[in-house]
Amino acid sequence: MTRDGRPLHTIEDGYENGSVVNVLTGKHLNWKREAGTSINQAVTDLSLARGTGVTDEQMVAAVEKQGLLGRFEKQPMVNTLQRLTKEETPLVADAACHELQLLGSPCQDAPGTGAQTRASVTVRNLTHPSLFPQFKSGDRIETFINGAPRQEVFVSTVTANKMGTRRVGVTDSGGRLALTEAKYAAPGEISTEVWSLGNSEASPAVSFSTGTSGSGGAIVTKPVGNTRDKYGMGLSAIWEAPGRVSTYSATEFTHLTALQYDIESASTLNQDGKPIKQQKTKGFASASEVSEGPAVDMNDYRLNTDHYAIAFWGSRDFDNPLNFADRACFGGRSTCQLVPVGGPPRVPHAEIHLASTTVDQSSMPWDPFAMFPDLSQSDKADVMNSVLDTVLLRTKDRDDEYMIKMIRYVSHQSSFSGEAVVRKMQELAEHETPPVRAAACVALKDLQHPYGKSVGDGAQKK
Amino acid sequence: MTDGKLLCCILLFSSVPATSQKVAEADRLKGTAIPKYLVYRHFLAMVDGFNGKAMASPGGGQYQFATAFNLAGWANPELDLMRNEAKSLTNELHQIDNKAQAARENYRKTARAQVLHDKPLPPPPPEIYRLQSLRNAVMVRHVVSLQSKLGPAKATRLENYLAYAFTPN
Repeated sequence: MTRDGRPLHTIEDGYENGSVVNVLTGKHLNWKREAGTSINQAVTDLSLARGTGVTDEQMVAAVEKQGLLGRFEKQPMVNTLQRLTKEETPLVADAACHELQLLGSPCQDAPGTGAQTRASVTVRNLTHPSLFPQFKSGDRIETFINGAPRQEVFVSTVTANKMGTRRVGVTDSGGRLALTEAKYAAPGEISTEVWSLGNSEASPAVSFSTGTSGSGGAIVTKPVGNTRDKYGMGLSAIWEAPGRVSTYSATEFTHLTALQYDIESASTLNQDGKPIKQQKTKGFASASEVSEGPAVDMNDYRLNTDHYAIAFWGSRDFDNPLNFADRACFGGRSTCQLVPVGGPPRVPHAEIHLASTTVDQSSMPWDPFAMFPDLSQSDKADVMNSVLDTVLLRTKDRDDEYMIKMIRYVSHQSSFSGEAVVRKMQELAEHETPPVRAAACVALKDLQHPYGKSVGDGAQKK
Repeated sequence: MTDGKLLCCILLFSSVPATSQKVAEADRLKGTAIPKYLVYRHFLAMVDGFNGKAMASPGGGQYQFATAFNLAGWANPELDLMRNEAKSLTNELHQIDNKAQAARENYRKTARAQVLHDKPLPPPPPEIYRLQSLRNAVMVRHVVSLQSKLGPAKATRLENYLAYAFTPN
């Protein structure tokens, strides 16, 4: 630890994947490790214990960030989060409950805890209760909303021709509201509803679809209102088709975030480590860019996108009302979701670098024989074996994801065919990791090879 | 090609206690936590983007937009479905975003005066939340529409394709 005139910090500050865990829940001057708790449990407890003067929003952000980074052991984190659902305020308990769901652990809905305040929607078809989820236009539907008490309830409805929001009532002291009405959708149409309590969306969204003849309709539900949908996201994607490389990158803010910040994203496409294309896009709620260009066989392509929020308020320094910090967009390598945490209320520059997302892809030859037009049949078989052994060779740099992509590529290309492909897929199906084996077996099945039929099912089940 | 990934792994595993690696499973779950309707939203935005480029380029064929993802072997009627859904989603989101942009301009006008007098920013207008709900409803409606038009088997095939090729993480 060093001191350079500013607060004490460690050499790893700023490294998201470093070993140092920032405590985001304030000062804990009187905090003591409970007797008998493991050190891992104590560290997890401390990281999510409410310190002096810490607001609900800071606690929620800490819960979301600490869970997201995955620096803690699963069981201590589950224990801590379950405790928060019982002891914390409804808002924090709600966030803890959501994290538990992501960890695959039950959220213990103790009566009176915040875990119950996540607004939810359930529907029943009163006209045909036993045939749920079947639906016919005109059926009477009961919608039951459950969430925080005494909240205004709104429903946003979208059909092919209309969209609008209406206020339908207020939840009672128990946080409930029930509404029964006939729902209509024209033949072949879909009507979707998103319900809200106050400013929070209730999950799931409910769609009423009818078949083209008016029958065969269904009620379809899709989850929305995830706390991580609230602010925005970033995404990079890349595809390689014979001789072409295509990319898509996007930064998207919700309207709430877009109120205070503008979007900027900068993407760079590299070919074998050298930049060949750079693009900058700006936008209001969304900034996205597609691009296409020629690909050179056997070259590696990588798309890197930097996602920025541009703070709006200020001249010398800027208001940062949602407390975004550098690298506040968390997630996987190619996608990230914004979590407002840890950022100061004011920032010296308008640009806040939220994340970089990266994807890569190798360009495979469209026709491995194009370079050798005069080959004999046996030589062709040798070339095919050699190409397959090269592109499907497991090296330390090639992970399962890469191997699976290549298997899918090879098995869908007509120029890769015959016994050589079957031989290579059989080899992978016998000697590779389970996910790669399963992909090889699917390829063998696609090739209608008996090995794939007999072994594929077993491998996929595994 | 994966040097960056490897470097990340080396940094991660060399600096984090071994026990922490046990949460890799949880981390993976979180990495894939991006809601499906947003995955579809971006997939369809990509379809619309490539379609716009193909239409604008001289000699661009009717299905040239699908070059990027034709490895999945989609037939023309299915590509038509995706393109129509993409176009309609883009238009509807545009309508809503225009309204939200107008609300934002009004908000910023009011808020600017507050900031100039060192007063805190006013709360977001409720209209912004309503428009966001509409936006989400539009996205979900197009997911349901595309899935129902494709039918269960092809919809599952599209989901698998999106998981592998569009948001691999």
